[in-house]
Amino acid sequence: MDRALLLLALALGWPAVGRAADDEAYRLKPGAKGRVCLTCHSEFAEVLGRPSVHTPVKAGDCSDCHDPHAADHADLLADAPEKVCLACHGGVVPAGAKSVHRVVGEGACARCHDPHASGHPNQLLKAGADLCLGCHGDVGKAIETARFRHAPVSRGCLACHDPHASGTAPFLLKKSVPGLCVACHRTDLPAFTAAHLGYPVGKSNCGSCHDPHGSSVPGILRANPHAPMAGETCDACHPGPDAAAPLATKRQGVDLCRDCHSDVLDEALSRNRIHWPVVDRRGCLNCHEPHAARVAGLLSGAPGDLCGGCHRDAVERQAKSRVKHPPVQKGECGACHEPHAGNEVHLLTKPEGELCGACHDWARHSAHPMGAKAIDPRDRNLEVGCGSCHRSHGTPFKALSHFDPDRELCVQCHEGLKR
Amino acid sequence: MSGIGRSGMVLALAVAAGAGIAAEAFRLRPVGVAYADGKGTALRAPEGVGCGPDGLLAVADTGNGRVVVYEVRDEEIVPRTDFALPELPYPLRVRVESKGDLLVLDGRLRKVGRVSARGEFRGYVEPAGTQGIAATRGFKIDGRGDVALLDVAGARVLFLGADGRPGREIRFPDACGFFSDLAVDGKGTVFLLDGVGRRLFTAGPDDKAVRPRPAALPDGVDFASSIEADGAGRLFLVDQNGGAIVILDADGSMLGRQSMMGWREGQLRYPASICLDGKGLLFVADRGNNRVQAFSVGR
Repeated sequence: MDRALLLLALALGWPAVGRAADDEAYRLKPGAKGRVCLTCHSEFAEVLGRPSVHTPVKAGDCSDCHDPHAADHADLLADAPEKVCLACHGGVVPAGAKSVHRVVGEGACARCHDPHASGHPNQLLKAGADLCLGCHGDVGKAIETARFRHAPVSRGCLACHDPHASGTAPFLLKKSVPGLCVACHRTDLPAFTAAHLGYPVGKSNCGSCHDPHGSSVPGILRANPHAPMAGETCDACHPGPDAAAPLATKRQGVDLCRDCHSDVLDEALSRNRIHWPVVDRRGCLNCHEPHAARVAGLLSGAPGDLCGGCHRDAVERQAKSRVKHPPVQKGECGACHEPHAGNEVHLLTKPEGELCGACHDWARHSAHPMGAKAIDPRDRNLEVGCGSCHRSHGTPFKALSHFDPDRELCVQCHEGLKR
Repeated sequence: MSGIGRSGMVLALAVAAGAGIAAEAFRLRPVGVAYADGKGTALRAPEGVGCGPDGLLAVADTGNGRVVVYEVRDEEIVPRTDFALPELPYPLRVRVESKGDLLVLDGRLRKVGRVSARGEFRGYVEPAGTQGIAATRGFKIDGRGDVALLDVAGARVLFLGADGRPGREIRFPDACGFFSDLAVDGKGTVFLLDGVGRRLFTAGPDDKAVRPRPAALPDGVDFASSIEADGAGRLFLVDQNGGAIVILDADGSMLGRQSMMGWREGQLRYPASICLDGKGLLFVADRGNNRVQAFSVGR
C-alpha cells in the first residue's frame, strides 16, 4: 500500500477498510461478525427490542467484544471486561482525574450498565437515583429522613456528580466546591450575606457547614453543628466579619480549641502519652470538623474509618483475620483506646488484663495461670497475659491466637509437649 | 541482664515472609539482651535507646519512669546506674551526646531535657522564649553535636546548637501523613519518616524544605515508628506493629527485613526505637518484651 492509499484509508476510516480486508482474508460469511450469532442466541431478539441498545449490538458486531471461537475470559470476552469497555469508552476517566468512581476503577462497568441493552438510557440497569442508591444506601436513607432536602437531589445524582470520574473535584463532583454551589446560589445577594453573619464565605467550602444532600437542621446544616456556629458566635474562633482576614482563626491548632475545651485538653496534656496528632499543626482538626459534622462529636468520619485512615495496618489485619474482634469490626476503636491521650502503651484505656476482662469472662481461662505469678517462659520479664496468646486486631487463626491453637500455640511455652 | 557471646549464639533470626531475595543481603544477628538494672529491677516497656562514647548505652525505661545506663564491653551489657527525675517523669527517647551527657524526650512534657550520665538534670533543650504547647515528637543529634527537634506543632525540624541557639530550620511539606521520627546522617541530610503516608522525606544539608522520596516504603512495613541512619548511607526503620527492623540503602531499596514478631530472644514485640553504636552493634528498645536487645549488623 503506497503512502497516498494509506492517507486515503485513514481519512475514510481505517477500521472499515481493515474490517473489509479481514472479511475477505478469513472468507467470512455475510453477517459472521454478529448476525450469524443470533441464529443460536435467539434470546437476543428480546434484548434488541429494548429501548437502549449498545451500539455494537445494534450493528450486529458481537465480535467487537466477544471472541467467536475461544477466549481467556468469561462469556468469551475478547479481553478483561474493563479493557473491552475502555477500548471504546476510554474517555470516561479524564487524565489526571481528581476522583474516580470505585466501580469504574475496578472495571466493573456491568455493575451499572447492561452491556447489551436495557430499558433505561445508556443501558443503565436502573433509572436515575435508584441505581446510585443501590450502593449508596446511607445517602439514600439520609435523604429520605431529612426534613429539608437540597433541591437538586430531586433531579437525580447527576445534577452534581459525574458518574464515572471528575477531572476537577473530589466525590465525582462536576466542579469543585464552592464553584458548583455558586452556580445556583448567588453570593452577592444581601440575603446570602445576612445568612452568613457578614462573613465573606463565597469562596469557602460550603460542605464544611452544609450537608449537600439535605438535613433536618434548617439551612441544611450538617446534623451536628459546633456550638459557636449553631449559636451564631463565629467570633469565638474567628475575628469579626469586618477584620482584615475575617476567616482566619484567632490561634492555631490545639491552642484555639483549648479556649473552650480546656477540660478535655488539659486532661490530655497531663497524661503520659499524647496521641500525637492532637498537638500537631492541625491539632483537633485531624479528626474533628470545625463547623458541623454528620457524625456525633464533630468527628470527620465514622470512628473506624477515621482511625483506620492512619492506622491502616490495624484495619488490614482485622480484614484478613479468620476471627473478627467485634469492637474492631464495628469500628469502636474507643472501646479499647483513648483518642486523645492516656497512660498505657498503645493508648489503651486500661491495663491489658483489666481491659480484656471487661468483656471476656476470666473464669473461662481459670485453668491457665495468668498474672504476676505466671512468668512467660519465653521472656522472664513478662507475665502471662491475654497478649501472650491472642492479638486483638486479628490473626490467621481461631480465637485470635498468635499461632494455631490446635498444633502450635501451647508448645510455644510448653516445649516439652512438642511431638 | 544477660549477655550472649557471638560464638555461642545459634539462634538465627527469621527472615519475614515476603521480604524477597534482597532480604537475604543484610542480616542482624542477636548478640545480647538487657533485662534489668544492676539491682535486678526488671525493665518495663522501654521505648528509647541511645548509644554513646566508650560503650555507653542509655535506656529510656519508660514503664518505670526512669533512665538506666549500661556499659557495653565485648558485647556484654553491664548495668552502671539508673535514675528517675521529676523533671523528666516519662522518658520516651534517649540519645547520648559526644561528651557523655544524655538527652531525654519526655512523653508527658513532650520536650527534651539534658542530664548527665549520673542523673544530674541540666535543663530543657528548647529555643528561648518558647510559648504554647510543647510538641517535640522526636529528636536526633547531628554530626556537629546540634540537636534536631521534630517539632510537630510548629511543623518543622529545628536545629539547636549546644548553646541553645536556634539554627537551621526545615519546614514540613503541606502534603504528608504524619512524621513520627527523623534521622540525620553524617553529611547533614535529614530524613523524615512518614509512617502514616508510608513514605520518607529528605532534605539535603542546605535545604530548608523536605521533598518526598519517589518510592513509598516497601510493602510489608506495617507501621514504621522510628528511623536511624548509619555512617554508610543505610537507613534502619523500626516496624513497630510488624516486629521487625527494615534496612534500606541510600536510594530506598530494601536491603533486608530482619526479626519477626515474637517473644524469644532475637524476636521483637512492638519495638519502639533503635540506636547504632558505630562499631557494628544495633540496640533495640523491645518495648513489648520489656527488654533491650543487641544485634550485630552485617551481611
